[in-house]
This record gives sequence, C-alpha cells and structure tokens, in this order.
Amino acid sequence: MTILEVNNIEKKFGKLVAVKDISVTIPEGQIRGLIGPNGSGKTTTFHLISGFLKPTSGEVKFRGARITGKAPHRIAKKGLVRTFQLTSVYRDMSVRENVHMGHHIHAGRTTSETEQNSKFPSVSSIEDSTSWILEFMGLSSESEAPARMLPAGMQRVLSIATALAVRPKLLMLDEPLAGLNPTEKSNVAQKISSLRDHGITILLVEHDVRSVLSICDQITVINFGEKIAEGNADEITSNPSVIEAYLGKAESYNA
Amino acid sequence: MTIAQFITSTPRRFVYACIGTAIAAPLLVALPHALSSYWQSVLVIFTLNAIMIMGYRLITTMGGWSFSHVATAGLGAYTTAILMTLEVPWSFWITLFLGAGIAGLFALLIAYPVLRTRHYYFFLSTFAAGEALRQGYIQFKGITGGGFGIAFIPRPEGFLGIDFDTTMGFYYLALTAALIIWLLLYRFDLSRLGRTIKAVAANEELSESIGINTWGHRTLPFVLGSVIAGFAGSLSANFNGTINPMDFGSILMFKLVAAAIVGGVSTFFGPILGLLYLTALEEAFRTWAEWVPLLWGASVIAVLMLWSGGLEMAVIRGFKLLKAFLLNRNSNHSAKTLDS
Repeated sequence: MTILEVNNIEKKFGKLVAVKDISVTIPEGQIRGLIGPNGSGKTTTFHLISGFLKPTSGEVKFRGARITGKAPHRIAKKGLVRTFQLTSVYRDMSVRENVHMGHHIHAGRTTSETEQNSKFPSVSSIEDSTSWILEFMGLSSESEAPARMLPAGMQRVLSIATALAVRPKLLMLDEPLAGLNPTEKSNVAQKISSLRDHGITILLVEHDVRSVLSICDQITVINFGEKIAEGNADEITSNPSVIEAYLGKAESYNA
Repeated sequence: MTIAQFITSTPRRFVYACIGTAIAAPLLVALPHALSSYWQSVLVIFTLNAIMIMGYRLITTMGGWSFSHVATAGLGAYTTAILMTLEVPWSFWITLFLGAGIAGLFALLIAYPVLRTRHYYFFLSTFAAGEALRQGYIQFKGITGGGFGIAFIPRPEGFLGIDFDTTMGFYYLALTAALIIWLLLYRFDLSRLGRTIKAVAANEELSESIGINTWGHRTLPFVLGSVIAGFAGSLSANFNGTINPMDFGSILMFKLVAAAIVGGVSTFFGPILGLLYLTALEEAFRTWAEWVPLLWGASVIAVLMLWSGGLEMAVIRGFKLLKAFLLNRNSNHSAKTLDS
C-alpha cells in the first residue's frame, strides 16, 4: 500500500527553479533514501512534503488524502512527522520533558480517537509512553539531563524520540547522520532500521552515501531539482548518471 | 471531577501560591492604613502597573517583547473615559470589561501582521502599531478629546461599605483585581497550555513539526496579555479621573520593558520585582526627578552587563544558598549528636 505519493511538485523562488517536476511514490514499511549533491533540492523537497514550504505546483498525497499546502502541524497530526537537519531539541528542557512535549497532540484525547500502530504501544498514558520511548531509544539513563548537555549524537537520537511521541506513520529524517562520529552513526542507523521493523515508514535525506546504501531499501536520487534515478543500492551505484552527478566521474570512481 | 481530584490535579506550586496569597492578603489590606495619602497613591499606581506588567510578562512567554502594550492599555482607558462621561454615563463595571475586550480585539487584529515578525522586528512592528494607535488618540479629537484628552471621569459607585472615591477605597478595588489576575495568570503559567506556549517560544519549527499549532500558541498570549493591559488601563483612567495621549506613550512603556529586564521574565514574580525596584528608585529620587530616567537606564545596562537573568535570579540564588545553609546546619547538628 502506498503511504506517500508526490506528483509533479515544483518550487520556484522567483526565477530560480529549486525543485522541478519531482514525483516519488513510497510504499508502506520502506526505508527510502533521498540523496543528491549539495544544492540539488533535497531539503526543499523535504519542506514541500512536510508543509514547511508550499509547492508552486503539483500535489502531495499522504495515505490517499491530499495534504498539499496544509500547515505543518496539521500534517503532523495526520501522522507525517519530520525532523530537522540541524539538531532540533528543546535545549532547556530535560530529555524526558522533550519526549513528553512530543505527545502534544495526544494530550486530552482518549486512545480510541488516535489511530494506533499495532507494533507501538498505544498512548493510553503520556507518562508510560514517554518512558517506553526513552527505553526504546536508549535514553533512559539520561532522562533527567537537560537536552543541551547531551553529546550531538544523543541529541539526534532525542529529536527522533520526540518525533516518535507523535506516533508517526511516516517519519521523515533530514540528514540524521550528519556530523556524527562513526560509533554514533552506526547507533543511529541501527535505531532507524528498528523503527522500520516497528512498522514506521521512513524517508531520509542523507549526505553520507555509504550509510544510505546500507540502510535504505530504495533510493531516489535528485540533481538540479530533478529526479535522475531510483532503485536499490546496486542499481543506484551502477547508474552512470548518478555516478557522474553525485559520486564524481566514472573513471575516477572505478579507479 | 470531584473536589479531591481537582486538588490533586492542581500543581503544588499553585497551591503554595494560594496559601501565600491568603497569608499576604490581610497584610496588603492593612498596608494603606500605615501610609500617608501620598504613599497610598503610589501604592495604587504600583498595583495598577503590576496588573499591566503581569499581562506583559504573559506576552513575553511567547518569545516576543511587545512595545504596543501601553498603547493597547489606552484602549481600555479611553473606553472607560468616553462611556463614563456620556450624558447618560455607562456603568464602570461594564466599561471595564468592554475596554479589556476591545484591547484584546485590537491585539487580535494586529496579531496577523505583527506576529509574522520575530525578535527586533517584532519589537519594531509593535512599536509602530502602538504609536499609530496613540496618534489615533490625538487625531480623532471628536471622540478622544485630542491632545487634551478627557477629564472628569467619575469613580464607580462604592459597595460593601467601601467608598471608591477615596484613594484607600480604590486601592482595595485595584488590589482585588490584581490578586485575582495574579492567581489566574499564575495558574495559566503552570498549565499545560502555558508550558506549550513556552515550548513554541523555545523552538518554533520543532513545535510545529510535532503537531503544535504555533500560530495559535503565539496569538493567544498576545491577545490575553492585551486584555489584561486593557483592564489595567481602564482602572487607571478611573483612578486618575483624567486621561490624555501622553499617559500611553513611551515613558510608561519603557518603564515596563525596563522592569522586565531588571527583574527578569523567566519567573512570574521577576517583572513585578523589577517594577518594585524601579518604583523604589523613582520615589527615592523624587526631589531629583530629572535623574530618574538616567538611573533606570543605568540599571538596565548594569543588569544586562553584570547580571543577566535579573533580580529574580539573585532571589533564586539567595534561596538556594539559604536552603544549603540550613541543610548544612542540620547535618552538622546531627553529626554532633552522633559524636556525643
């Protein structure tokens, strides 16, 4: 079943065409990577899907319903939640308070009103759900520390944990591995895979090609705002236009 | 909800606040009896400004420092002044709530443009909106009396044996309003809604991404804070008996902003503490009044340079030291008893 359908979206900033006619379809339960060289339009595409920017034309459908141009908080309520490129946490709140705040849309609701994901415990109590997520993401031991005191890798994990509190069906991660050391990278990558195993579809933008190839089921490559290739890791790495656009010239790649 | 549930669901700090208020209230009621009529007036004006700054602090929780607060308060004042000086004067109590409502409505109208701006731009855009409003008070002479303003605003009818025509009687009115507003706003500050507003101020993008309606959570404190301002404006017009556009200019606005900086805004009591400091300074230098603005300005700069966080942080640090000292003494004491 398709969870996200992006049809011919385009975004112009004045005369500059940042995203040109991109279409992407993501089936449920996949980890999809979105890669491309610097300035290729990845982050703009991300903003267009999550509602932080309105497309000039085209449409975005989430679970069959059109969400184009809706406010981001409305899109989040439908179950499409995104994280940010630079680590984004509530710096002065404790780790637990951050995750607690993530439950905003569940506060004051009864469980029957929020659709549940069978592999994730339901939000019958925000306290229980917060503890469960902290445990699941390996943050329990730091739960009382102020978020700003955590190392970069942990803050990244915390921003994913906060997003999980919303109970997303599709989680969009904007460069979740950027700026992390190798240990932190493999830790976060492992968490992302286990989220998929818990029934959450993932779309991630990443700069670090090696980790994208290892964790994504399918990869979409864009360059100059256009989609140039789509497929699994093998198909992408052997695609000449991808090699040329992203990994460098064919000769130097083979050498 | 049973009463027991209500009590357990109430934040503990609010319960303490209620107890503290109950203890302080008789002292505050007795206070004017010990004061000369001059100091009674100072006390009333301080109380009205305290209401104003509680509303101002509510606005700062959404991350923006408004400069239209005092001009907005003017809407409450003019509503009361105009309606109470008609041939068939309106009841003060109706104009009080109507004025607060009009101030809130004005905030709601300017919210769309000014809340699109952030930081300095928010400060500048609210300054422009406030100044435009104040110019309105001057220009629409037919309704507002122009630069001369409106005089002979009557005080409300007394009740329960309290005569609002006296300064002391009016003080009780202002005090009652201030205590009610303080308890309501403090409860609001501790509520989930209050916390969410602060979360939006701390990180707007993140808040939006987890499904918080950030627009609504910025507009609400701006409008509610303005309602409080209108309330205070209406009361002060009534207390002074006369208003003119100068009353709602940048001098009072600067005093509020300075109080918020000197006192700090991370706690509820910070701005009130700042206001108390500025008022004390003003009264101490009453015979050298020309020095007062200079001293206020110097205080603001000194706090920003030496003591960011303001007086509230000094108080909090003081309490922590006191607590540590007491705990230490207790443990020393128990150590001694163990020795013997």
